[in-house]
Amino acid sequence: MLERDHTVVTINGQEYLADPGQNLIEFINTTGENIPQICYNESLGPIETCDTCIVQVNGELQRACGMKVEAGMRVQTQLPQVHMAQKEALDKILENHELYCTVCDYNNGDCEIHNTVADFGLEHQSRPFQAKPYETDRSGSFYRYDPNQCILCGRCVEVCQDIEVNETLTIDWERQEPRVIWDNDVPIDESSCVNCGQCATVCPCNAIMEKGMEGEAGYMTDQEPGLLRSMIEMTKKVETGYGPLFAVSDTEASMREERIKKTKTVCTYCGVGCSFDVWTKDRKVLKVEPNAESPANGIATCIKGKFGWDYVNSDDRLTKPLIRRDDAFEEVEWDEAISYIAERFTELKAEHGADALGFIASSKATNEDSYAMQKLSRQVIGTNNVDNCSRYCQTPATMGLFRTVGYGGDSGSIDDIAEADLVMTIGSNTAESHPVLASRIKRSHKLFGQKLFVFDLRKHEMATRADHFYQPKSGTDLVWVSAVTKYIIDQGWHDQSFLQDWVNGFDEYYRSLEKFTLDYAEEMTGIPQEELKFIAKEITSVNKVAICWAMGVTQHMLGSDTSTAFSNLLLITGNYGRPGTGAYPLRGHNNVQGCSDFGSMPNFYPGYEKVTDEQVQKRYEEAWGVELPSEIGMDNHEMIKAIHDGSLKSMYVKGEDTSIVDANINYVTDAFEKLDFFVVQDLFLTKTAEYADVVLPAVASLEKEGTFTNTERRIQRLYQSLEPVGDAKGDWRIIQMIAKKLGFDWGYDHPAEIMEEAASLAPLFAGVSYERLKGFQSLQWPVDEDGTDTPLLFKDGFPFEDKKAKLYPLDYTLMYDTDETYDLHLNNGRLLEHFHEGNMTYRSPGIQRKTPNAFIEVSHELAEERGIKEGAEVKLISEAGEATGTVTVTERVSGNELYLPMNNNGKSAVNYLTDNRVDKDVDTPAYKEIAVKMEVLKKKGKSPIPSNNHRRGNRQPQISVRVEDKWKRSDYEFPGNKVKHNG
Amino acid sequence: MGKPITNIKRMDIPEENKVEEDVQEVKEAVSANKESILKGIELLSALDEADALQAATAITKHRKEALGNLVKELNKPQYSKSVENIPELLFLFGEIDLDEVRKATERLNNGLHELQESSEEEKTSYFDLVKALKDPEINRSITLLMKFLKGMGKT
Repeated sequence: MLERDHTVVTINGQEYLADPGQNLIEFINTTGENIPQICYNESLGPIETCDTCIVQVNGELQRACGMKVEAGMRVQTQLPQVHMAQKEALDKILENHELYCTVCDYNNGDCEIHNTVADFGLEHQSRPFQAKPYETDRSGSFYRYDPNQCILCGRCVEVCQDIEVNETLTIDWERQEPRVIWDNDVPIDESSCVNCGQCATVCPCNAIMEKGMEGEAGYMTDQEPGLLRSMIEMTKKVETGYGPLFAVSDTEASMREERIKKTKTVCTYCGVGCSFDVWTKDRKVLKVEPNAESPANGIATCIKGKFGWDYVNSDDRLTKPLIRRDDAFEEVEWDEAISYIAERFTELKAEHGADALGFIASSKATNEDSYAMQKLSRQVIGTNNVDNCSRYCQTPATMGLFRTVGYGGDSGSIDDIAEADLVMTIGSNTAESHPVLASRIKRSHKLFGQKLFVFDLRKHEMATRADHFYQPKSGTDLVWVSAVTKYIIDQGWHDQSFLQDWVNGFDEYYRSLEKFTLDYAEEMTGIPQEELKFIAKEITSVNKVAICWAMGVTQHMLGSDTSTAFSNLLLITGNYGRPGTGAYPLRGHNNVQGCSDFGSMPNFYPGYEKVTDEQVQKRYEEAWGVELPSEIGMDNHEMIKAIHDGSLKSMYVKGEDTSIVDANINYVTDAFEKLDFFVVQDLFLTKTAEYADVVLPAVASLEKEGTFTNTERRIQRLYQSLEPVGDAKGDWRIIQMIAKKLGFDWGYDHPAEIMEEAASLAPLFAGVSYERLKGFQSLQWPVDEDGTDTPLLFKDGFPFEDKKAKLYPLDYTLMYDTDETYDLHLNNGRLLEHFHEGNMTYRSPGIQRKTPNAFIEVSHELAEERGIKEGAEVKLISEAGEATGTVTVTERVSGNELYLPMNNNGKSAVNYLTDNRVDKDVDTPAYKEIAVKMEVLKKKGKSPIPSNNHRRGNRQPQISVRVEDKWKRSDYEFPGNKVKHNG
Repeated sequence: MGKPITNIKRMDIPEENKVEEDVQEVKEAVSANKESILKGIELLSALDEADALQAATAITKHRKEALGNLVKELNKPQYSKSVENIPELLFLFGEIDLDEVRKATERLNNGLHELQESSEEEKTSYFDLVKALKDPEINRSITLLMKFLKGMGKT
């Protein structure tokens, strides 16, 4: 039906075509009519608290944001009574908000109250401002709340309840003077607030504001509180009426632009790829301001992206190259360091051959940095021994997808996950590891009826929110998934036409499922048969299924096969190629996807073209003017082994604290000690760098330009907001200097030139250019030469010759279990507020005071059995090593399972315990397969979780801000009615 | 062949080198902005001649105290009216009809002129007053004054 044709809406006498059911204010905003709107924000949807958008609809005064477009609607926005009602609403707001813009840190041209009042032409305050009887709450680390400036629009509540879905903020409409409250009315610092900062982002004024802005943004705002108060009084006296006030404050606001720099960047803390503007003044980061146009995150952020940037200005940053001499590192100039590296590389290559050298690129660095690293390795040195740290996490997922559907990346966008009817997360602590993406699922689940099934050992936040939560035995996901798939086929519930049209290998695959009976699955996984049948039914009864998985799946010996099993299930049920469906391996680091995409892999050139493919090799040989090696190189696991064997003599590692993050620390560091020559490039003197012969000072993401590719295969640009600290340089610039010294002058001046070269050589990125990535624009690969990108993969088939996907037969043997000696299973993963080994986030005092250390989670049952309590000290011993830590007793784990966050580089580092077991197909360490025994050192003590940690908070779930409660108040009268009464 | 080490020997950059580098940087900046710098020097010497330079330096150095004192003082009740009057005066100026003021001023000037010419000994009797009403100029003045008094009485 062409319903749209019939939805004619008249606005001020002019006819427009509207989408039926569209929100009226959203529609009015598209017509160029200007009406005030303070609580309304497109990213949040209607909240209906401020009453300023009143218009006349079919003769009645109504909130535009509370109406849906209907055919024949007649809307008036300019009548006198409309104006009067809007004015009444604005007056009401100004009773709650003191306008002292010139001395307000929020006066940066984007204060929505300021702008609305100015646009409306309001000249005077009709009713005096009334202070509320509350103090400003500045207890938290990162933002403060000033109830006196709060207009109770409820945006912060909306974003906390329904966008972030952390459910901390509410407005208490019952009390005499309503205000925003945290949990059940506790200080911000003691609440369940996870400091995502989105309340500060959406606050239309200075009520909730980032502490970094205070006293910094304005020219006259850095004053003692008493004096500031006097200046506010003074401002109000001198600037009577809003006209003069705005004239002065607007001038001051534009003066601020002179010294506050706003630069678009992309977050480095996980694979979601949030982009935002970072506001800096000299080297100070004032705040991070997301943008509704940010393609992956919109206005959303998490604590790390919003507030975790202190490390950039840490005194520990390396500022000069270091060379090991005797027992110390000596600072040297770049010339000396580069010459030394070139000389040693040349010697080692001459003596032992090119394959005695190995290179490890960083999944935190840019695509251009990755491209430069593999070019150095292949063109300049002549070896395919180049890899990156995605080997530690997500390579198995990539393998599983390559085998079945041909592209090793998320099938769609985060929007598709949000749109799915059923989301299954498997081995993913999504709310802590990918918080912004998790919020999209939480929102769809809370508001739009999306079903959420969680499969995990640990009862984390997503598990507590799930419709159904299953705890299969560690490492057995392949079994239940395959059993469910078999049951679906046996019931005839599979998508036969999809299989007919798009999939090869059904018969052979079906035969391989023979062993995966429900009996077998129940026995192996512990999930009852009835539940497995239920899961099968649920999957096939909905239209769109998306499967998200992470390290809980991939960091096992069968990580690749398990990932493959998910893809098989999706193929059998036809859940590929349509919006809201597909496979989503959630990438851990900001550029896990891109670092592999751009060729830092021993078997692939950029764009996943095999090094063994002669044609591809020829293409690169022509472009680079050298002969290239055609054998597959060593991955990073093999490199460590080769050092022990004596065949690898030199390593160049950038942006990766390998000695902490690779499995089996002792084995890895022993290897480093054996190297003839070791170059490490990083921001800090990391544990890994301590073993180096040369340490090169790199720059932080805020100090460079380039591109990252997020989990959605989305390429995004970051711009430089700060000058490099000291003599530090960007990764590709350093690599280019080494290449030049070794006789290859690449001549890049800007990363755009590197991208241009990569795009000209790798068909996957044919149409990628910096021009097309300007500002908040992005491209999701594959990108055609004309710039057409691919938000959703497989719409027109799969990237194989006959365009058909492949079902991949699998087998299963249980390879890991606890035993009598090592009787506990040690699970591990991330904490929301820390990143990886913590080199960056432990340098944030605001995070540090809330989460100073990692801790060991122990179940109530186990604690009782071992006679330990909160704060106990224990030593965990595995076959590979030992680690000590402090215990927290929690329901998040059960039975003989322990959880140790990976975010620690001291004695609690989990990789003291991991060993050399790896995925059988791609060598990813089986970090999740550690059996340990526990020795109690101290029976109880101080809890490792401080009292101001959000885990101790008390969430208050509700939907939106409950504006109905406001309307029920005896002192509330709808401005529309008031105007009518007053005639 | 490296054991882990954490000791860093910082590079000793001799103070002279650092100074030399800085001077070089400044030299380059001066050369690139020669015209502006020369004009700036002219402005500085003008300010210095007027003794304004020292005052500006002092007030800048003590800006926080100065601002504090000023704002605190101005916020005292006795200034309250004056401060509030600043913007009010601005509005007042806006409302005065200057054409009218000009006419009235002209008349006032004429009056003052006559006043200058009159001698102090001159006296006026009651009859002189009545007689004077017949003088068109005086009559006009009295009428104007009466109209003014009437207008001023209006709210």
